[in-house]
This record gives sequence, C-alpha cells and structure tokens, in this order.
Amino acid sequence: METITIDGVNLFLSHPDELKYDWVGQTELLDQVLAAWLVLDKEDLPLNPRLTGKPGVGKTTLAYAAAKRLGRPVYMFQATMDTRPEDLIITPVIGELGHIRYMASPLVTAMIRGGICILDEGNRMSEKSWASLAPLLDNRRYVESVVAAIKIQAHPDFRFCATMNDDASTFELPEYIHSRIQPQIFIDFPEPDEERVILRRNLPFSNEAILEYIVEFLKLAHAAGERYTVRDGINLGRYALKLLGEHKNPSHKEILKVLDLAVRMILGDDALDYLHGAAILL
Amino acid sequence: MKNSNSQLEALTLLPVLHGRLEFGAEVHRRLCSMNPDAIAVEFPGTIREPILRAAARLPLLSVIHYQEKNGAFVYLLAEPQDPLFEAVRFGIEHSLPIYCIDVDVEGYPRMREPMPDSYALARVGYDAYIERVLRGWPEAESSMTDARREAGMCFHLQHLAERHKRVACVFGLSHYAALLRGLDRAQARPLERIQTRQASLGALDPQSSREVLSEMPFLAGRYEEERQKGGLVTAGSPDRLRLYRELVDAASDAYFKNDKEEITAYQKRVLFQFARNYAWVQGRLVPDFYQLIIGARGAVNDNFAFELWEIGADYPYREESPSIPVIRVSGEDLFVDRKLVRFHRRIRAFRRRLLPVPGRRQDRGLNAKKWKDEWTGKHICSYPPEDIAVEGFGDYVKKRAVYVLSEEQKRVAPFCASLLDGIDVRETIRNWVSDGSIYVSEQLPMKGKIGSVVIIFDEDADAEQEAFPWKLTWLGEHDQESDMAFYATHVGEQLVGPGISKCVHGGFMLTYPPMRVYDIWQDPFFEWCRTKSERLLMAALDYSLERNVVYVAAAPPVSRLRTMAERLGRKIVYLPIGMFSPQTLKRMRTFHVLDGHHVRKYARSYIET
Repeated sequence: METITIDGVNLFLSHPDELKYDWVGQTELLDQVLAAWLVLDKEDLPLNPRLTGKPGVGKTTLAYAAAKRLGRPVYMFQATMDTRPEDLIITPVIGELGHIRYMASPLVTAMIRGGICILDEGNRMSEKSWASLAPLLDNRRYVESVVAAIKIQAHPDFRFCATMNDDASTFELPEYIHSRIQPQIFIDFPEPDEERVILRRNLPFSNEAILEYIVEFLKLAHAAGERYTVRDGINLGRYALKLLGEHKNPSHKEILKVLDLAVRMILGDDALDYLHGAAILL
Repeated sequence: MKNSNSQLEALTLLPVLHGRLEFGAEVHRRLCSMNPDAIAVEFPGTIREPILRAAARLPLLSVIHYQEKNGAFVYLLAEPQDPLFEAVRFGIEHSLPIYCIDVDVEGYPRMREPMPDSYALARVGYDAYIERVLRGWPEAESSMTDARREAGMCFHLQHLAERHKRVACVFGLSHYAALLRGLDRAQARPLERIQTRQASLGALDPQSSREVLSEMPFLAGRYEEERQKGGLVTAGSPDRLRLYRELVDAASDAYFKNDKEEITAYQKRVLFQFARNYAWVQGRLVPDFYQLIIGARGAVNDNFAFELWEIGADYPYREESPSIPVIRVSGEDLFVDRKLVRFHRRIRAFRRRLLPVPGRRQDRGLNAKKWKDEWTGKHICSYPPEDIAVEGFGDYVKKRAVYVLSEEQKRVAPFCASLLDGIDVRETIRNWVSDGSIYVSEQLPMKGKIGSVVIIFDEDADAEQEAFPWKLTWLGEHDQESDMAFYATHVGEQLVGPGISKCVHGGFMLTYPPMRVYDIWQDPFFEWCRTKSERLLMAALDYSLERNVVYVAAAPPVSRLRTMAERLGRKIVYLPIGMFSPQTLKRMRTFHVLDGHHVRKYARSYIET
C-alpha cells in the first residue's frame, strides 16, 4: 500500500477504481461534466457538479466516463446513511503492534494524487458528513482531519463530483452545501435511438427483435411517467436471453413469452401493460 | 476589404458569416463609412424581387420560399442581423442599386465549414479575423457547384467594377479565397438560370421565430433596437456578452415575479462560468442559447431556465394581422441543428426543442387570460398531493428539531465510574496521546414533544408594499391533516390551468390535531403582533398542545415572542432556514388553489408534483 507523510503523519492511500463503464450517446452531458471541471486560468477554480436523475439513468457511469476523459486516476466513494465525517477523510485503524494506522479515504487520496473523486449517491449522507467537506468545495480547497490532526490541501488537478438520486430515501442538503455543489446536471431518460444503442452495447449477443421490444417498452413507460430506466431494460434483456437459452432464432411469440416472464419477475405485474402496448405497436 | 487588383479597385469585398450578429453590425458600420454607390450580395438574381420586399419589411421577419425541380422546397429567412439582408436593407434605405450576383443552382448540398466563433470579431477586429481565416484556409479547390457559383460571382463583380466607383460586395466567408483568385482573371458569363423563380414571400409565424432564427431572437431584437437608435455605428456594438447579462437579469426579474425567489450573485457567477466552460469544451468562445439555458438550469433550476428560454426566444417585432400569408417553418425545413431540452417545471410543460434557439411557445399568455376571466374564487380548495407534501415536510421539520434538541442534550466526559451510554471513540482517540483517558458519552432525555411548526420564507415586513397580501386559515379536511394558516401571493392572480391558481407562500403555520383553529388573521387575541410572521408564531404557540414549537426562518424570533412563549409554558425551537434544501423549500413554497372540488379531477394534467 502506498503511503505519504503529511505534517509528520503517515497516511496509507487508497487504490484508484478501474471499471468497465462505457458512456453511450448523450455526448452533451459528457461535455457538461467536463465543462464544470474546466479551469481556464491559474486563478480559476473548478466547479463541483452534482449529477441528478432517476435511479438507473447512468449518473455514475457518466461521472466515471467524464473522469476517464481527463486521464486522471478515478476514486469512487459510496455514500450511505452511516457515512461519518472521518470515513470521508481519514479513518484510524489498529495496525500491527497495536499502533494506530491512518487510512486516507478515496476522497483524500484523490485530493493528494490530483485525481477525480466521485461521491456516489451523495444525498444518502448526513449533513454532518457534508459539513466536513465544506472547505474543500469552496475556494479553500482543503479538508481537516480531526482524528489525525492535519490539514490536507487539494492538488490543483483534483476534481470532485457527486451523484444524487431523486428518490425519497435521502437526507436533505442544507443551503450552504447545496451552493457548493454546483452546477446541477440533470440526466434525463435517453432518446429511444440512444436507448437502443445502449441496449445493444450491453446486450451484444441479443437479437434485434428483443431489443426493439425493450426500446418500445421503455418508450411507453417514459411517456406514462414511470420510473423504469434503461438499466431495467438491460436487466429485462439479460433475463429474457437466459430464459431463451440456446434458442438462437425465437419467434415473436416465444420472445413475448420470455419477456412477459422477465417483466413479471423484475418489474412486477404493473409493468406488463407497457409490454403489451409494445407488442401491439410492433 | 479593399481589393488589391488595381482594375477592380471599385470593389470592397466584405466576407461574412451568415446570420451572425457581429457580422451584421460590421457590415452596417462599413457601409456607413464607405458610402458605396452600389451594393452586391450573394443572392441569386432569380429571387431578387422577393428579397428586396423581405428586406423592406424588416424588422418584421419574412420567409422567401420556392420549389426546385425535384420537388424540394427552399426556404430563405430574412432576419435583421443577417449581414446580407443588412446590406440589402442599407441599399434600400439609401436608394442604391442592389445587385444579386450569385448563380441560381439547384440541389445545393447543405454544408457547414468550421469557422472561428464570430465573437472573436468583436475582440480582434474584422480585418484581423478575416486575415486569420484566409491564412488558414485550405488550398484545395471548391466543389463543382461552388466553383460554378464563385466564377459567376466573379463575372458579375468584374462587370460591376466597370460601371460603379464604390461597390460593396457582401458574401459568405467560405467563398472569399476563391473570389480573390477568380477576380484576378477575366471570367466568362456563367451558364445560369435567368428566368425569375416563382418565389413567394410570407410572414414568419411567431411560433416559428422561436425556433428557426440564426441568432437567439432576443439578440436579433436588440440588434434591431440598436440599429434604430443609430447605435450600430459604434465599434463593438451590440456586445453579445452584455446582451447575455441583460437577458439573465430579465429572466431573474421574471423568475422573481413568478416564483418570488431572487437569483443571487453567486448563482449568476456559476451560470456564466459553467456556460462559458461549456462553450469552450465545444470549441466556441462564448455560449450559445442552448448552453446558456443549460447553465441556468445548472446554477438555479428548471423554472429559471424556462424563464430564460421564454425571454430569449421572444422576438419583439411582429404585426397583428400581416398583409401577406403567414408561414410556419420548422427546424427540419431549414436543416438547422436542434437540441432537445425538457423543462421539468412545477407546471407541466411539453417537450421543447432547441436549436441554438428552440421551441414551441406554450399558449400561456392566451389561455391564462381566459382562465383568469373564468376564475370565481367562491369555493376554493387545496390540491391534495401538495397537502400531503406539506404535511410530510412538517413532520420532517419536527424530526430535525428533535435531532437538534437531542444533540444539545448530549454530554461527553472522561470515564470515572460509569460507562453511561458508551465510549465516545472520537473524543477518546483525540485525547489518547495527551492524557490516555477514555471518554464516555451520555444522552439526556429530551423534555417535551414538538407541537406546531412555523415556516417563514419571507418576512414581508413592508406593510406599504405587501408581496404576500393573501392571508388565510385553512382547516384540515381529515384527521391526518393539520390546520394551516398562511400568507401568500394573491389567489386568482396567476392561473396555470382552468380553475387552477398558482400561489407562493410567504410563510405558513401547521398545528395538529385539526379542526381547532379560529381564523388567526381576524382573531383580536393576536392584534398586538407587528408582522405576519409574528402572528403565525403567536398562533402556533397558542394552539400547540406540546411544549416545543418549531420556528424555521432566516432570522430568530424577536425577544418579546420568546417571553410570551415562556408565559404560555412553551419553548420556541429556532431552526435557520438555510438548514433545509433549497429545492425542498422551493417545492413547499409553491402551491395551487383550485376553484372548487370538481377541479381536483383534472388538476393533475396541469400541475406537476
């Protein structure tokens, strides 16, 4: 494990994340994240975007894809209700011989290495934990570790991004934090053509008929204001293909049968209306 | 730019980018200073007559359209800031001969050469801009069709140079290099259609003007305003960035009017920084309309972005009943880039499309007047989904208050005899090196429960100019709903649907259980209160069945209310409003009042929750 010494305190650093995330379509969104991070002058400061949208629209994937574009190491931190301020910064653990070891969080590692930190599902984290990031997210760009009694300054290349679901199971963000994680980049449902490309990319072994059914299913669901996303579409496709097994050239009747079962098992009976609607349209 | 060829000294070539504001203004300035005796423009002579009529109609927008042999329709927009139409208009105003020198070709491919952002002209100057583009222009010959057009333009220009002393020639910058080469040698008359086309002229439909103009309609309108005032002769006018600031300020005012929220200087800074960066990432110097809208959404919210779009997409010059046919043109007809933006507003809106300038106007103005006339206000009621949301928010505020009170009751001390509620690990580690003591914490019980809740968004202290003059006490409709008293914007003032009035809370009070509250705005018991927020808090203290009353506002309550609370055996728990999410507060602030219970059946179609 890599270590670094700051103000006499030896910190153990985290590993960057290497994921097989691929962003397809909606290039404008990618540009928007990169725009938030762009600095044009030494005096200029990057913005800290928050990516919002329904679960499954690809917030984390977008953040990761944008971060990889910058060619810097990417560190992800999954926020939860139990995330405490010290978890975000430095955690003391008992090492060999009973000595305390200070473990730098992915966020602090990104700050030191000049990487990109993606704070995933940031609104699940309490206000107290967000408060510890307040100086990092304004022009001070540092964090203070109470546990290790040190102040850590962010590398000029450090960039930050938070993803947030718009579902109800989240904490409220106070105004002073809200104003520090700007701009808000809203990720909407992709257009049908883009959804088709995403599905094809994620289900390369699927036949076209199944993809068309799922695209039409999602289109009808979006129009009705349902929360089903392309992630649900991928899951439907995967399960339907597993149900078909070795059957390479299924008829439309067979496809509908497995998709019917997949919709029931994954999304529930309420979603069947959209599959039936798709069957009529196709 | 003066032609170097001595035989063609009469020609002043003015290459431009079509439709761009900076080039329109530059052409106007150059024509004013050079005082030409003829104008030549890159339009085919076969449609000269409708072009002149369209230019004469400016600032009213027109469309020239005709059909090609293969059945395809060709549309040409006449816009005030377009440099070619600026030149024609100048010619008409100064009674100069106007020559259309282009060759009429059919099936011309839609091509777009990459050019530097036109805003660079405002910074480096016209000559430097053109010189830099020319220096980087590829040596390759033009396509067959372009070569034919360019040879034709050279032929016409050479003839004009013999007949006039000062000819201003305005044409697309992509032809400049070829024209310079072509003018150096004698050109033969091109084979071209000379028969006049059956082209029609129509007035552009106001709906279409929001979607198809080359520049944001707001900019086109301001260009025209400057032109009429004679301001275009000043170098650098109109300045695009200054107009953007004016647009954002106008949108901020509209947002305040409709949503009663101010846009802070910080939000504007984020908006401009984000939009600027977005433009840079996409290879431009300054943002376009779409990027500004995305910036507005990112820095504030969809409602503000919508206001920006509404104002930015509005072209101010139009006539009530045009004397020529009205034509609706879409972005597809003109082969312009379009981008889609969905505004997720509180009021349900349909998808809107964006070019640099997009969209379809909601019939808000027209319908709102009709709805306002039909509003009776006799049997008003609330919109139930919003009741549930407000009730849920009230519960959440109570939980936050309990949390704050509990934190105040927590004690941490060095371990001596009892572990109390457990070891406080953080305090122990913090002091481990210095004193090696173990610290323990103790959670003392909270005294009393939470009763009423008061939320003050805006004190509205100015009695002379009340922003929230509508005061009401609303009783809960069932045993799960609190009684509510509030002050808000006038009901029936802003209609968003038939019998649906949008209002904005200045502040409200919730107290449970329901069916107990007498109209607090009439109750003489509260007469001594000086402001509406004081009256709400006093009512909350009076009607609360529990010891603690939560008061959420930007400033804590005045001391005499604290004294009054003590006398009533109550305690005010003050929570700064900044503790809560601005997005949630915004949702709570806006509400809808329905003109009778029957409106509840269809209100969902007009209100997004």
